[in-house]
Amino acid sequence: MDFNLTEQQQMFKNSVKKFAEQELTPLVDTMDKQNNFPHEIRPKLAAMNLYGIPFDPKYGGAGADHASLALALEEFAKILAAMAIHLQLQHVVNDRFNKLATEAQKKQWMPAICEAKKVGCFGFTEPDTGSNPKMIKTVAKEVKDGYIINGAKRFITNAPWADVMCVFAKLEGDISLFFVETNRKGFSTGPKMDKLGLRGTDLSDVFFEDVHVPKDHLMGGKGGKFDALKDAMTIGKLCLSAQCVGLMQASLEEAIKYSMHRMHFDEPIFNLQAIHWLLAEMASRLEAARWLTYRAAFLKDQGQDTIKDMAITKLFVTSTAVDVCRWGMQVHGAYGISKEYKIERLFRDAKMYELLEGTSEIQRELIVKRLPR
Amino acid sequence: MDFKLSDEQVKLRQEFYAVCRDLEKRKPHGFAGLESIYDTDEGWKYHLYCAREYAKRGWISIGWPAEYGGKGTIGDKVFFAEARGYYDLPGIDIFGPEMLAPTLLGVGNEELNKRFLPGIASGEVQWCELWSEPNAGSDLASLTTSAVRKGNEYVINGQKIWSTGAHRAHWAFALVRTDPHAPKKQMGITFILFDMKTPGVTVKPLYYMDGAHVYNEVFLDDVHVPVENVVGQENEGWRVTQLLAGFERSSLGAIMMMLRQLEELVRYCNETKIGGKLLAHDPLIRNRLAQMACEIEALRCLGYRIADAQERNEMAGFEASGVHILASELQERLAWLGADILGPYGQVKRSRWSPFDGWYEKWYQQSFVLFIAMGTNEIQRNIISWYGLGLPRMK
Repeated sequence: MDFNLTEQQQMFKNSVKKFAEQELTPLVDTMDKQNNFPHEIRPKLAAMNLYGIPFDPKYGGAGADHASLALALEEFAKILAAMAIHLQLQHVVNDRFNKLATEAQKKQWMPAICEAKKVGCFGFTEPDTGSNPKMIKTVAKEVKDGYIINGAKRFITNAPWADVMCVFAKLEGDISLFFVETNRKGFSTGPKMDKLGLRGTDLSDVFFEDVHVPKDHLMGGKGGKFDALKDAMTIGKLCLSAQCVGLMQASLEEAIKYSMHRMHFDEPIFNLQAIHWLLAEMASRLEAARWLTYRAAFLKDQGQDTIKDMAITKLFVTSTAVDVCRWGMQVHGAYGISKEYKIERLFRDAKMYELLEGTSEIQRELIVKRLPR
Repeated sequence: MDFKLSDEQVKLRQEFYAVCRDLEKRKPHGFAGLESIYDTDEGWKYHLYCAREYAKRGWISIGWPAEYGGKGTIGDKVFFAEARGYYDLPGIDIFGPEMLAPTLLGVGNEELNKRFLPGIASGEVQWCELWSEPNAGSDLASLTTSAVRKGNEYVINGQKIWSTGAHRAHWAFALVRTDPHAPKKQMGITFILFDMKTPGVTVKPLYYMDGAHVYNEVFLDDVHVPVENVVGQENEGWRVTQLLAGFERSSLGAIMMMLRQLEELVRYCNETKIGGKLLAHDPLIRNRLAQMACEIEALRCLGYRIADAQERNEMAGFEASGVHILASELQERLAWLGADILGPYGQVKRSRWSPFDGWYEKWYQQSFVLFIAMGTNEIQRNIISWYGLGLPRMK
């Protein structure tokens, strides 16, 4: 075993940290307060090769590992978690192309996404179906020259301005996966949703009304794509967990910083044991969450990631993030709820992670079914 | 990062698990944790039997220098602790192999090492720790038990408390005050060893809430101890206590014990019906089992991280405090979970009505002590605050 980062991973982490501090800090208000996505950042992300961290360079990727992806998302989330979500989504979409598309499609889409020329989004959740994939109602019907898709998707990040969408739909009663260019006739999006946290990552409904796609837009053949969904969710869970590590780190740093300046009876609250114990609790739990996340990344790189491992990681790390950010807020006292302090954003963002890629309740079900008997 | 075990580690780990699995078959009925080692003659015999079995394989002295019969690394020691934890086996107590041996190897002289290390390695000499006093627990440096030098001996007087297994131990390592006028309370303390049969040593039981005899008060009245039994230098005992570098601190033994308990609970829920319905189908129970599995896995990973850092000599002490807090609190929650799942059966002491041989009735009570032993969780949080986060030290 070796828990240390490799030299390459450490260098990568340092460069992303510097980038995030310089480039993301000025975007916080745009995303969180104005709820807008700052498109001008995209070429800069591409220039750093951050849209395709674990993918083969021949498809525009950086050829690094999933541990590096996790480290990048952690550093992003420390500054602006919403931007980390944007990055995650591009990886999830590209990962589908990487695993299921033809060589020509990979060459068409993956470099374009990595170079910020195109944006992808990922469509599984529906108005009546979140946690149970088998209940999706979006359907695809085979026709002579392709497929006709009808249905609706909900909570689709990037949808209002995406160029391509990976869409799960039922074909002949089984789940299949398609990619759909968003300029196709019949494709439309609903109004942008306003939300609790991770603001600025544009979220909306997507509607399919007789959307026609050619035959080659069916990814990986007909049916059996429940596994593709599960696989997509494992990378998603890793990404979310890594972001939570960043949120927790930021929360701890903010709480320490605040406690050093906040005076209470003529001395900083930094001197109070009650505050020490809260900070110690935050630090301990962050450490456990960090190493579980890195292990998940390692398992992913080894091709040994399982649904159980990823569910355990996601459940532990996201629920720990909510606790740690809440304690960070507690250290801030009443100022914690003020927009003047970063901690309130971390607190709001943290809750989002318990809800994405399967709620905590769903993770527990996934885990318990896989416990040894 | 590389979370894989080497082929040698996998093989060694398998060997530990195989031997421990066999030893578990000889476990007395109702044996549960630390309490069972010291409370009954049967438990104590089993503890000594396991110790001899480990000693035959050289496992008690893993990580020691070869000249004292040692082999392997701290990492190997962790795998051994993990296997013992999984099967909840005794045989290695924290005092001789885990605390005194590394202390002797760090600051003991050749003579002391030759006198005491073989007895620890063979499991034949069992030790207890005489540190805490009625008015010196978390603030250990306030201890007042005195040792006055008279010729080639010290004469020790005072009282120690919460001395685990002192009624069974052959020898003790104690902290005593040899200079009551030292400018700081951490100065003037000496680390000394003596035979528990020395005249003047009186052990009285302090019964735990469940009636078990694990802890003791130890009264020291004019106990004569040769000066050559001092470890390190006179008046530098505090420094000696800070040098427990070889102490395996991953908490993986405790974590693996929880994993095993969780597996047993899952099995129970899959086999037991309440009101015609399998417990495993109860959503509340499923929810809590899954949460427990997730937290155990997180701690296991953290435990390995600490073991790895310790093996590389890169560990900061506060990291072990973190896993200690998390593991102790999770053990309590596991005890509650087990009691809740068993329902009314969880209250029954070992009998034909009690599932798991009465484990949960005992464990519910025993788990509380984990917040206190080896430094309370409040002290552990202070350690993290001071050394990990650089916060100011509180008086």
